[in-house]
Amino acid sequence: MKTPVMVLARGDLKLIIRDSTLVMALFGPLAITGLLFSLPMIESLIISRFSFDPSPYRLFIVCFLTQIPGMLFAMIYGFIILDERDEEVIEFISITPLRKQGYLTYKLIMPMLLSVVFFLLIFYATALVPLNPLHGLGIAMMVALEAAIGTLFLVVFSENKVEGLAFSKLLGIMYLAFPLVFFWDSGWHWLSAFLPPFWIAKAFLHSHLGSPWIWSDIFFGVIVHVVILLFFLKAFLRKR
Amino acid sequence: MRLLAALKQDILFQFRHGFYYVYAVLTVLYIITLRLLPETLVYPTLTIILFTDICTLGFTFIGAIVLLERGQNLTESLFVTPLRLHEYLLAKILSFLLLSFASAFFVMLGASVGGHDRMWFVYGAIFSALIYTLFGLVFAARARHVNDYFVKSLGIGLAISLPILAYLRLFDTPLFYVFPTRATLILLDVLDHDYALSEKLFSVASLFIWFLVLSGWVYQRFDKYVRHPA
Repeated sequence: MKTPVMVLARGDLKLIIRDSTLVMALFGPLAITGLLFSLPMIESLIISRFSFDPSPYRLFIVCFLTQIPGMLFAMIYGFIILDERDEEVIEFISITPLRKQGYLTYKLIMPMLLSVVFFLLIFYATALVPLNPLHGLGIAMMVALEAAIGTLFLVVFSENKVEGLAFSKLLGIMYLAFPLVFFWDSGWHWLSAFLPPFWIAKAFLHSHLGSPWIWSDIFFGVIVHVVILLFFLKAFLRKR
Repeated sequence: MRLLAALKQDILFQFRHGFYYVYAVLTVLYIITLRLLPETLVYPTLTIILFTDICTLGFTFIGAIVLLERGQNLTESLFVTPLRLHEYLLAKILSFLLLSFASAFFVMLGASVGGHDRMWFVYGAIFSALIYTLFGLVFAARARHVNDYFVKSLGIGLAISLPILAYLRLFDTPLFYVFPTRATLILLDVLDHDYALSEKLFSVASLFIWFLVLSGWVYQRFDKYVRHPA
């Protein structure tokens, strides 16, 4: 049976294999996995070379690095959409039964799925910092939504792939929320609460401290993510 | 004159596509970061910022620009005009040089960092910006999609960035001196560290040679795949 999703997925797979995009799609996350696995070694190297103990920063480093695969998947799918828009593939699909909504749903679910799988896999396989599995699932939910936000961010604000690239630089700024939450010892860090990663960082921190606030982080975090996602979604569907 | 016109067009294109706005935002963020950092970390961070973003931004962007131009069949029409291929390519690398230079200048001014050996530093920054845009052009000549460009360029990009390990004092080998990035990292680092004159001269020569080799290579590839596509 050929469902529209299967047809689309096969098309993507062809595109990926032909353009060896898969190499990048897997290379980035795998490189991060490798980096995380060798983190204890790097830490001891830093201690011996620079007589500086980086272990207090481990939670921050692990949280931060585990977000990168999600960002990469968001960018890859963002660029696929931009490429297809430049080549007017989207126009073509929008008059098929799948319509623009169906196309977009599929293109957003893929980065969401991939980033959740990679996030959970990397986090629990390396086991560098403990994380309650329930908290982990809550955070994974935000990671998934964030991948969709990243993809939409690129395609909503940019007219073509060149602008998409410029915006992908700005996308990285969102992750500034991580150092702000972890290191800015002042109430002012709440200023960055509108950035989705803010809530992921908060959740990590509270889960680590065993604070019950973790649940409110997940709750508000998911709300912030969903609101931003819906806003971008509307903007994308309105476009052209 | 043709070169100037092409250059103006490329700068306008970058401006219209938000590059200058994006880099204005990033420049401000870099300044804030540098100002907040403890003194000992300012120079290493500056070097890393210049090396990973500002001096190499052409590498990131050139692929998409060339792809867009080719997708719109712009290059076909362009090369029936009197515009020469080398002028087209020069306009591309010089326009990115301007953006890199402006961003680097304001970051350093804003964070009020300076230091000795500025001439070496400026030479290193300029030639690095030129070289990495050329590197991008090598891959842009044949890439089919943005993701395709990234796969091809990123692998090489990461490979030639290996000397960063030496900069971070994690691993070193004399082989790194073959890489242009080794020279870049030395010349970007002269503000803070004393390098032997021989090392500085070597870096200057290395970047210059890489510039010539890559220019030739890019010209050849564009001539073959963009100006006269099969």
